[in-house]
Amino acid sequence: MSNTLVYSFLLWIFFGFQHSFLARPYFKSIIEKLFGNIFVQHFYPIIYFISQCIIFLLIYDLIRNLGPNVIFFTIPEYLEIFIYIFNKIAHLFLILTVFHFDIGKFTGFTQFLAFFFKKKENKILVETLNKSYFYKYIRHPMYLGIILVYLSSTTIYTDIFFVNAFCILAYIEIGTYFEEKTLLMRFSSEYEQYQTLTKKYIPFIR
Amino acid sequence: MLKKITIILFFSLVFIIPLILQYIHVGVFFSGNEYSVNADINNLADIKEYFFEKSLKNLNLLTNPFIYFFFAALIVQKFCSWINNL
Repeated sequence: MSNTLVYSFLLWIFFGFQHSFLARPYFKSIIEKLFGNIFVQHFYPIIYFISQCIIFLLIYDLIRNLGPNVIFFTIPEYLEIFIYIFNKIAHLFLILTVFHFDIGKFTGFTQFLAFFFKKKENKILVETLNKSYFYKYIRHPMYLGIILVYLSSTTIYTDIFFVNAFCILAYIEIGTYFEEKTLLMRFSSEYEQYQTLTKKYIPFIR
Repeated sequence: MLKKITIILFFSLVFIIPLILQYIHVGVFFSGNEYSVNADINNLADIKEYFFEKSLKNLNLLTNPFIYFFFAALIVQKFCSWINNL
């Protein structure tokens, strides 16, 4: 295995580990002991979001600049337009999946503002299971969007591309395992029922 | 109906029209191809050099594309829910 492939693999492991660890209830309980419940509720989510935007850019910028060793195949020029259109549709799909969330809560902005405008505090603590639109058919449409965008982002398929694809898939699979575990704890039988009625990434395929 | 049209138009203005403009200006372009051809990190020394010379610019929040994206998405979502509640 060449050096660049190992570096790519290690960088993904580093990103995945810190991304998951910092979001785990265990780590949040440590932060709560150190800085208190108010900090965890109102400030930690936005700090986590901003830090992940920076760390992902740092890591991914390094990964995409790793030199490939082998080009396995290249899509012929006359087919590029189809991959291009597919890539743009995948982009739009990914953007639409983001709109399924309350983006304010997702980024921590709502929780941050709630600290200064206390009246809204009770409202942000209520959590409901998202089962609308894409989530009616699959449990992780955002991850499907990420996979589709990545797969259609190039027409030159190198060894680094496949290592990255493998790492993204592995991370998503591990991530969903822990995410679903947390959701099962939070929503218990409601989520269990939702799991049995919907597919994971692709409609009709478990 | 008018609300739905306004929401679709606003969403298109922020997320679809830039894609069309990019196609008009640059044509069929794959960001992944750029890196497949020009990527120049081959060993640990290159990683260190790249990190200290180029990567540190990524610490700037004002040029972070993810922050921009989520900020734009947040504004669009707030605007859409405001239109919906009118």
